[in-house]
Amino acid sequence: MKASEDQWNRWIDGVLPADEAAAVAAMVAEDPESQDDQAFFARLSGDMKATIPAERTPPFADFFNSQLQKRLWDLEHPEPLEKRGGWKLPSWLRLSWAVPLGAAAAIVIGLSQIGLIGDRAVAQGSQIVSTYAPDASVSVETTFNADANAMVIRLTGVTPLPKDLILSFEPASKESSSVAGEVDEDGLVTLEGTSSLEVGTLPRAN
Amino acid sequence: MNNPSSPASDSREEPSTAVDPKTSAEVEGPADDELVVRCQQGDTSAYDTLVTRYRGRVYGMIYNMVKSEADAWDLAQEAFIKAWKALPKFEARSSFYTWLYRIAHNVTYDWMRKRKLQAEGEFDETVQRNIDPRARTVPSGVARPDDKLAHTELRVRIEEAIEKLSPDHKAVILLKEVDGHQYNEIAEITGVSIGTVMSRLFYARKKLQSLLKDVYESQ
Repeated sequence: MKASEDQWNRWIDGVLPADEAAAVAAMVAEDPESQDDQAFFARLSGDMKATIPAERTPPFADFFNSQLQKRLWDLEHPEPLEKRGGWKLPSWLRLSWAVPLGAAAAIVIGLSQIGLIGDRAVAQGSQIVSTYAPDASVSVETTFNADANAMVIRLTGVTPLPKDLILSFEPASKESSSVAGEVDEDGLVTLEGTSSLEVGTLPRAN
Repeated sequence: MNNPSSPASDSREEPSTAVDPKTSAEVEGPADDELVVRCQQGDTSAYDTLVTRYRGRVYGMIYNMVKSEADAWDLAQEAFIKAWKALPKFEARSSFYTWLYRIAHNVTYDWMRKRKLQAEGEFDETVQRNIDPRARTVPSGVARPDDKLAHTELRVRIEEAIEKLSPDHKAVILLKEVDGHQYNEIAEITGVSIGTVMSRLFYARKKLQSLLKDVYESQ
């Protein structure tokens, strides 16, 4: 007679009453392949708890909360895209962050989950949910250009780029769609695509 | 083996092994039920407190399933959005934490199903996912305390073995062994009976045993 899956699991976890545990142990003892199960899973369970964290702080945790608040606010106060003007994060949402020497501060830009997750319909043009600059000296302002049907991002406080560097736009996730972007001499950035982005610098190709 | 279906409630109680965030020394402020009432009255600052309290557990659970920081971020956001929308219907039949976990699990599971991350050939040793414990898809900029884990060969082997499980089996083994949930909580989170939880747990454990037996025999 063999232990049921229910009994076996509870026996492995040590939560059976004593008499039932003894009965299961006797059944397991008759199965050569299962005799070491309890010791094996005691070790595996301990190793899993020790090596796989149950809790992880999300990257840019304050931005996680602020973006969520923005999205909740948008849920309660939907307005047409064309009517959205410039929008800036309050300063209390910024954190001090070490600026890479000689380069623009890395900026995480959260874009709306167009077509990726959730039930939001694909909007015309791009839509930026919120922005976050880890460096307090850098500000990010977004406006919607109705003529171009695109969201424009203005970066202020970014160290002027050396001529041998260009801005790079990298999707935060390998699975994210590709992003095309350009920046003019005034620092106006036009992006197309949907993703969470990392904005940094790359050497200009010669 | 016999696999009798079990009722949703079970008289043989497990000793609690889950870490209750409410009892952690780091948790301060109002209790969850008080915050939930305030949220149901439209208090978004109360919800911000709940988000701060549980974002680590939600993000951690999702990350352990999808193994991508950016995707886990997005899915965690989606889970909290869905939870906010569903709060008016929350009746406290379970703890807020368990209820939130169920939403996060469903969001993740639906996403994985869409991404067709079902394991192919579960015992196929050639189907592997390259898992670099140090891989990041977004810059952190700041050292995270929860990332200061030893990148040992054992950890990599364990994670590789878990990645070979189907989402159903991966979910129950992580909820049990990593998150420390009880059987009835796992049943509630995954939306199945305790009997199904036991069946999946049995299968997942046996599979991990076959994949990792050599690791422990060599020690």
